[in-house]
Amino acid sequence: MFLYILGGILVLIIIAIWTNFDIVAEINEVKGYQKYEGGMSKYIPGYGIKEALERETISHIFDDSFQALVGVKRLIGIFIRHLITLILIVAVVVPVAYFFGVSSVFRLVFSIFVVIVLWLTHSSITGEVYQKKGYSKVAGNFIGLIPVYGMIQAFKLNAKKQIFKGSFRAIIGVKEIFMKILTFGFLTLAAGIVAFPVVYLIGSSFTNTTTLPTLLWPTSDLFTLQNYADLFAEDSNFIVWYKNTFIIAVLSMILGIIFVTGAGYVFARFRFKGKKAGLMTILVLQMFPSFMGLIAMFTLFQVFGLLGKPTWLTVLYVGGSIPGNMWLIKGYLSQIPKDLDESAMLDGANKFQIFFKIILPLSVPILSFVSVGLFMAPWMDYMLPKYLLDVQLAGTDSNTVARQWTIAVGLFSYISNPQSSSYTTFAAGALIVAVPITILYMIFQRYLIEGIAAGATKG
Amino acid sequence: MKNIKHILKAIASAILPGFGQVLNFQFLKALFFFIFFAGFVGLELATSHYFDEIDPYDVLTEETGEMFSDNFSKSFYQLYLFDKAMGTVDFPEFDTYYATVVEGSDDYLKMEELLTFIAEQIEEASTPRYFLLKQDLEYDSGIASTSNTGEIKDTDFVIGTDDAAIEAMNFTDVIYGVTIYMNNDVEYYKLSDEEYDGDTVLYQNVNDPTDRISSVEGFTEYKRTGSMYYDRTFGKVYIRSTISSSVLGSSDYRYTNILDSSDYYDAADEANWAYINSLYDLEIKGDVVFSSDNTLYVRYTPELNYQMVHGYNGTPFTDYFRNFITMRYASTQTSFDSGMYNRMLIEVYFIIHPELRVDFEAEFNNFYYDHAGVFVKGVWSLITLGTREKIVYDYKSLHAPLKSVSFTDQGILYPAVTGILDQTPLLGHVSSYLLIQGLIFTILLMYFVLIYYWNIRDAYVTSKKYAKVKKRETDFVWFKNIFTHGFEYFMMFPAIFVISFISVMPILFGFLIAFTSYSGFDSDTGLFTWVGFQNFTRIFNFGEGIPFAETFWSVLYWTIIWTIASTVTVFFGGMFLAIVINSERVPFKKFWRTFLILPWAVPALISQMAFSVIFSERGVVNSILSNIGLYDVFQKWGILGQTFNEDTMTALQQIFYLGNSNIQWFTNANNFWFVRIALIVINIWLGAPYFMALMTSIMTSIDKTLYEAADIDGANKNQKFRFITFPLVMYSTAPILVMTFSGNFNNFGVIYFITQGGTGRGDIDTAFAGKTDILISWMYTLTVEKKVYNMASVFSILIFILLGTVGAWNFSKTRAFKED
Repeated sequence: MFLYILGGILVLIIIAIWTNFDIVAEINEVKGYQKYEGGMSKYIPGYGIKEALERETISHIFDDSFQALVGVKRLIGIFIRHLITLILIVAVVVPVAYFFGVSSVFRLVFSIFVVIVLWLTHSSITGEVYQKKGYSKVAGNFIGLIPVYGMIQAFKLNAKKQIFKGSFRAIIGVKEIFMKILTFGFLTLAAGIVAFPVVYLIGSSFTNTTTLPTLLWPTSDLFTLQNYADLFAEDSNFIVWYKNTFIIAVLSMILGIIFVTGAGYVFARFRFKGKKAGLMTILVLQMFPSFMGLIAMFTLFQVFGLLGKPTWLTVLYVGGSIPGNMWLIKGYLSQIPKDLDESAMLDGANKFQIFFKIILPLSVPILSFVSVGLFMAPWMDYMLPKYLLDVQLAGTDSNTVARQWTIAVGLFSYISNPQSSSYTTFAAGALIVAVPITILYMIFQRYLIEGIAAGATKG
Repeated sequence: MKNIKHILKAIASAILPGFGQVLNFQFLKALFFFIFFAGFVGLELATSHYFDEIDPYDVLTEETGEMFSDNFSKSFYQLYLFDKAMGTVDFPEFDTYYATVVEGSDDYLKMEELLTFIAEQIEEASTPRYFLLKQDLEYDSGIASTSNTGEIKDTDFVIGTDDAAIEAMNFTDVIYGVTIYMNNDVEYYKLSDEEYDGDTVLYQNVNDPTDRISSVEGFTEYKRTGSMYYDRTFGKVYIRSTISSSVLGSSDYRYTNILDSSDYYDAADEANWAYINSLYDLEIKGDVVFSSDNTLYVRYTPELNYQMVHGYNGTPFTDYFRNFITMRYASTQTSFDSGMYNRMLIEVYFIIHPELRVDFEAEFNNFYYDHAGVFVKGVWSLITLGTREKIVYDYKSLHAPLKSVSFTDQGILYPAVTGILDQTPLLGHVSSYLLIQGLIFTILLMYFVLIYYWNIRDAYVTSKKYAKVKKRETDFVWFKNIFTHGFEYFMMFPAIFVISFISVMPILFGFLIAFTSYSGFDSDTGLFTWVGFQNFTRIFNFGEGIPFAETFWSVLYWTIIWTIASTVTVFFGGMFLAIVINSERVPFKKFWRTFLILPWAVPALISQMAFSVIFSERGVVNSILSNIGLYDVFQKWGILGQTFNEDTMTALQQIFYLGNSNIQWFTNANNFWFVRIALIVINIWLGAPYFMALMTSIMTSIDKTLYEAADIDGANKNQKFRFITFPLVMYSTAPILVMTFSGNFNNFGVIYFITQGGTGRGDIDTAFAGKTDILISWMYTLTVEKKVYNMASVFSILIFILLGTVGAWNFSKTRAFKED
């Protein structure tokens, strides 16, 4: 108990000294002195501030604005801020130190982490030195990727422009370096977290085990390509799922575009009776959880005997996608100036000709966007296929049921049943599905992200 | 009354579409409307059976096929005559019957008549009655069974005629299949709820109905099976019980005299083995009862099936008939299938139970269901949701006399007919089908009503216009106008048509079932009814039945917390990442941006499934944490490695409880908030990168002069962020924030693929919701696994109201809405 109290008091004293030190520096700056003026007194809480306040002002300050620097509220604020910082530092340093001592794995990971952070900091500093000396910052950053040599190179450079005294302090000052380490520490950590599941998934897909892989990457004796071979084996369901999904995707893309384009065009271009009502209806339809139609779909499929027939899902994807995509196309077409239509009309074109010869070619970008969306949907949908395709038809066995699924249902079946899971096959299958999509998204990211944003703001 | 002429024309059009147009001298147009009308009426008539006779037997399924033709009975009679001449068979009763039903030389024995005779034979041989057990037991290799041939003896009590005598005998059922409590050689069993009033539990002496006690504390417990054994020497019947503490092994059986509980033999005692082995296995067609003077009787009713034997008795004639069919089945010349056999069985069943046939023929000849065309039937379906219950005609009890068995005749083996059913299930009206058909044809009807209305209006308007300008537009001009003015509708028609059946109809269906009793495992093929707002009030009825009310509110509470927390964390997580990347210090911004956006580009479904693997109890994360020694720390703190125990653990340990042998990220039943928080944190991985990318592009596009101006005014970094960056970013991302909000509210993937609903999912105590289930995933379980369709639909409507309001508000702020 006594120890705790003693520790608490010690912490409070440290914070008090720290706070005092900071405020003295601030007052000194305002009064026109060097930041760390004032001998030992700046380390004594309270007294340091008092002395600093009493020091004669040598800068051209007309009022006592620095009095605001020592208001009670501000003092408490800074105090609390420092307290939190200290606690955070302790919260990071203590566990790190503990695990560094206990675990060799942690020692390794942490060392790599530190090296990367230092490396990035090094590169950043080099770049900034380059910039200060009037060279390209990016070039400096690249040179800085070579440890030590980069830094030496940077300081040996001849300055192209005049460098003010102390301007390097902003780059390699203690506080700045501390912030740099913090920033790069955070970024490295974030990158690690982002990469972890992806690396694990790739690693698992090459692992030879019947249980859950517990290594991020397989050791050489566990390394195998068998998981991929399994997926493409003669009797594998994966190919069937892939085929099912692909057919649905292509069909729903083609049909969806046919159905949605005309309607989008009409809503964007014409004024007619029932337009507002139609738009509102479509909007309301979109707000219902897609789930609500699920039961009806099941009954409908049952009535027509379509349960367990993957291709027929197309109908539902097409129908379900019309409202949302119609809004998208309408929004896009609204931006094409109407003068185009009118001048064509003057030239004697009828509405069909205007649509096919003018509007359609102009709307290729949005149509391709919508097509990609239509194509993607079946790959990532689980609810509909699970409900409508995972049905054992009369006179069939369980393996036939599995051959009715789409890829999403199939992949989940690899991991959802603890008794018969096949995690490594799942990983391989997931990668085969994910890699093309991921690459596509990475390439078109800018367009996609801003497209969604634009769609949200403009409608 | 200047308008009367126009109104009359409109009425003419209303009565017969196109007629008003004829009066307007617009014949082509009249034809146009008339074709629509004719199409509508034609469709209704073509799909109807208004003028047809309906054969109710058409509803029988494939497995219950056609009836045997009269040729079959004819050839049966010929064979009978042949066999009779050969001297192998002779049924004088049948000859008499034949003489009465067949009159004249060109008449012959109809199938119907043959089956009626068979039914009579079976009924005669199967009189429901009480008969003495001991009287006609037959012994065969350790089995004692009653012959029960249908012959009525003097000692029998026939049910229906000797009811007074049966009453006087005061029969008591032999108790079996229940737990028995024994004390001092007296056995008791617990009375079921229907047999006594009041709240106290009562136990009754198995031999003496007047002896009832209310407590069986300290009594020996065991379970009486239905197996009975007969002591031939003394005529005693023993019933076998299994001692409940250990039901394995024959040594734990006890054989008790059914009349006297104190007379029993334990198989555990080796001395009893000889006696037990001398007992006969008792197989009886009927239930053993005993009278007030402890005489054992058998109660026999033919409709019931007893153990392995079926109720009705056959006669030599039925055996002969049965073998005839089996023989014919083997013959290549005459073909019939098991469906016809089943049809014959149900026919005999109906002859024995004429009241069932009347009911069947009446109910399966419904005017609206069986006769009406699609539109009338559709509207009727919507209103009534069907009227005919599903029914099962169980004719298994007829199997003993009539089911085909293989036999050998003159060295030829005739195999039995395969595929004979125990019962004929008949689908009644299936409400879900009716509702959906009703909706489809009502929507289609709406299209016709629209054209009908157009037709009436046209007659009126044209007439009025003519009265004014004395000039009509020609039909040709009218059609041309329709084409040019109707371009919009023409282009939209495919989309609208598809939407109305694939989007509107299902949603309408989903909406309507919230007002029905559509739930339960057989509701997919059965009836349900309209119940009004009853399902909606269930979310306020606490403590009644399945706890939907309690669960709904707790799930809604967690859904809202999840929605807010996941949206906020993702939004600010993304913003923080964007700020860090955008900071002056960071080189290679493009690299960081591209790298950190990876989670957004990986399909969510895949990453969600991957997370469920990564964080599973034996997954890679736990293995790493245990490797670096974190497990040791947690175990030291007592939040890992011990079973959850409220009494021994401190409050802090309970709050931070992580699991038993491993960290239970998603399966921690004792600390579900830990699981929920883990989910929210994992969701940051999935959601933040999108906002990061969005915000970096917004931040880089902010006009640099704004910052320069701020620099000149002496703003520091914080101020620049607070007053320039933040408001601009918020302004551009607010609509997306609302979309993300809706998205997370319905984020099925994260919940379902990662945790599959969490612990407790599927329990009836929590109305099938798990601890991490949000509304949408709970609804999924309700629908797909538990088939509680109506409640799921109620929740969908509530979600719609909740999100629809938010969405409409958000949308009303967009430019697109204001423009139109």
